[in-house]
Amino acid sequence: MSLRADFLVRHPGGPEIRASFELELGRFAVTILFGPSGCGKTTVLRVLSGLARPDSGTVVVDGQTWSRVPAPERGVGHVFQEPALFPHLTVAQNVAYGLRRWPAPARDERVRLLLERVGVAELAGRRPGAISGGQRQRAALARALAPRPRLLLLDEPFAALDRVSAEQLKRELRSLLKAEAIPALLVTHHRGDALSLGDHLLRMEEGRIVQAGRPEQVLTGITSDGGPGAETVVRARCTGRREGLLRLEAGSAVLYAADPGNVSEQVHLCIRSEGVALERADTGALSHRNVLPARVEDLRAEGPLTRVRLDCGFPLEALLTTWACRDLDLRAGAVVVALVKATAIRVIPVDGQGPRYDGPIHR
Amino acid sequence: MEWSAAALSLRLALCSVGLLAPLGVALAWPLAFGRFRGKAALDALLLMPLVLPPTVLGFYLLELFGPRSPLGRAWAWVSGGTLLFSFSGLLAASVILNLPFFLQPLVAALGGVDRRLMEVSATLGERRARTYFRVTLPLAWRGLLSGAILAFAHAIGEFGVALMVGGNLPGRTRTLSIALFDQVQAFDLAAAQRTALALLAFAFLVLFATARLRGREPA
Repeated sequence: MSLRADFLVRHPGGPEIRASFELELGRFAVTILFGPSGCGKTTVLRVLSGLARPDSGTVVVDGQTWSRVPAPERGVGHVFQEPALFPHLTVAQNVAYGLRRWPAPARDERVRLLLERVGVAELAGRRPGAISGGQRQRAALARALAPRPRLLLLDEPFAALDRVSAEQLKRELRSLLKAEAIPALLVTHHRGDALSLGDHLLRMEEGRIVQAGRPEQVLTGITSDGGPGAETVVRARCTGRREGLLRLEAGSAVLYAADPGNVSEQVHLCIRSEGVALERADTGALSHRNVLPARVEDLRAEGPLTRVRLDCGFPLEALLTTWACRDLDLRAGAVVVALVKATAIRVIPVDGQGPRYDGPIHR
Repeated sequence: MEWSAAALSLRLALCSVGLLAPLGVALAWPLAFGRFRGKAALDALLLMPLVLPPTVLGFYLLELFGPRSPLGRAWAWVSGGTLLFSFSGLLAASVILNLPFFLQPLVAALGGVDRRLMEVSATLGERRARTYFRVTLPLAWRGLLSGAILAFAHAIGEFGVALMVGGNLPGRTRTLSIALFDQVQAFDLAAAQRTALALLAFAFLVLFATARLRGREPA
């Protein structure tokens, strides 16, 4: 099963949004739709769920064109930024809403199971007005999952939550989706969420999908998300802990980074180029935990600074003053030592330990 | 107080609301959410009874319900009677006259329901009509109730159209407000006082109830 989208939406007097991508639907995978606010991510979701019509182009699912298929017949779940629970129904009735055609015993069992999975079983009889924002969003997630949609769209589901509820839900979301075996398309502009939750990533900018690939590949070199950027994003395996530091294996290199807690074996490392220093030789005692032999791949001038691409067992970027590059006599092919402070590495845990999704996802 | 007139007024108002409820619920949906040609004209047409002098509306209904009109003839063929000067004719006039009183608060309340809830319903597999009955209408219940109360109260006190279409037949078309008119004409001021006071108190209670309902609406 696959979904192929190729459409254009024109907002009157506003931007033009063009989306062209493919999603695998048959099996569980989380695809991230990543980009800054206002780049058209929400519009893409609305077209997929049938809440908005494209001006041209269409969505094709398993050879069936969706232009004339109304939202209720698409089997696409949609979780909005705001939970949007039906205020006149209880939490359980909200979750059961999409199960009208199910026989009562199966429906009750499904509702019970989902409320338990999202952790709001004890609130089944409450009205949405009587529970917290985080609990409402969990109930909304259960409601969208209940009819077993073939694709679940999540439009910044953490945006309206306080930090604690958002962090909790983030930790559980991936395993929840996996337990239900429902493929999901998650909109976010936070690279941390993209890295920890996604198997694949579509990057949007100014109404276009400009890049697709694995999250760490696409997000390497991108700092325009408004959050703390990091030019180097690399997958690593956590192989030990010592004095509050994690021992991490990335490619053939070993690094140490501050332990953020809640880290499973698989992680992403985000390293800002400004946090990387270079030496021409290993000078011995340094405060840097990470002293990595590296080879200079290439240099690129950025005003008074120079961006240096390195291979130190994994691709790494450093940002130096042009003066320093001259002092070090840096050239492509030069052998150097890269110094990275353990505190300059941000470790993002990767949820779920199952095999990663590598199927076709875009053209 | 003339109890038969009071009973007739009450019966008329209850039957009017009983007919207005399904008709109003069906009409409110396109008025609140529909986008079609002629919507403004339909809006204006349905609101006309609010601003037309009752005698003007009464005159046209007299023409429409008359024994020589197509509707009058059809009615005579079906029921064997006439629409004019009968309870059925009075009821039909009352429904037309009170439709805007029922529709106005209902359409306003429907327009105030969060659109996203309807979108959520669509993504959960429900088509528009079912979404209307499962989500939109239940959330607009205050508007539905205000409309029903206003239409009921207005039907109780209607005078002009009732007199023109129904005449003044005791037990059949003589409503409380027509009885009051008769009492004043006959200089029975004591009876008129009682009837007027009853209608006044009733009107106040109704408006008070709707104000309370509105006051409880979430901001």
